[in-house]
Amino acid sequence: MNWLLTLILLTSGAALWRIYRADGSGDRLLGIQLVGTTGIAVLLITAESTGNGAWREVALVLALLAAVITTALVQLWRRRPS
Amino acid sequence: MIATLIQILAWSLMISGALFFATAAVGMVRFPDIFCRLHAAAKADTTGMGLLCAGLALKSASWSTAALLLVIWLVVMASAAVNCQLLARYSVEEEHGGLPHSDDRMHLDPDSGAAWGRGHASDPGSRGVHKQEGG
Repeated sequence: MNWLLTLILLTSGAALWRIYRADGSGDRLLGIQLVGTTGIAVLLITAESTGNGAWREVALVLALLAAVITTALVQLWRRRPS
Repeated sequence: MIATLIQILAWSLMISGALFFATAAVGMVRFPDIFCRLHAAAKADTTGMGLLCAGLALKSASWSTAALLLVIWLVVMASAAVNCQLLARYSVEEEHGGLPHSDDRMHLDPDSGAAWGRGHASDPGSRGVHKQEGG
């Protein structure tokens, strides 16, 4: 299961590279979204490989937080265009 | 026999999910602008997540775990759908100084509609816009 984890972490790395070389703040936020999703996937695979189900609940919390962050930031940017 | 089949199915689901994640990574790096990258981050990612969750649910062989994985996938799917739309709208606003189908556009001169360049200017009704009298 390790190579699966490696592949997903490489995806996360691609998203981080995109955050580093972004065209604008929207692009950066998109990268953050992808990092969030890959983080959820990594936590789920960790739960399966370690046999500790608590990681799945951490993944659920991360999913809920990742759902909110884009909405909140875009609303903020629309209110105060920068 | 059945257990082996379930393991094979679970592994193939997880592998295809990881491949979708890899596709998202390639798209994230290689696509030229944010509207293309939204496809990589929203669609490929959600599909990969769904396949991975399905594979892990099969592998875990427990109903409560499967339910939790289903909830996680539903949250990821809903947030990807909503956030993709929000980011696309925000990027269009940034690019053009307003939404192409907002009510302000009705007061622009007809030629500026062509400047949106996405072919919606002549057909506002298709975007669900209702014209307001007097703005």
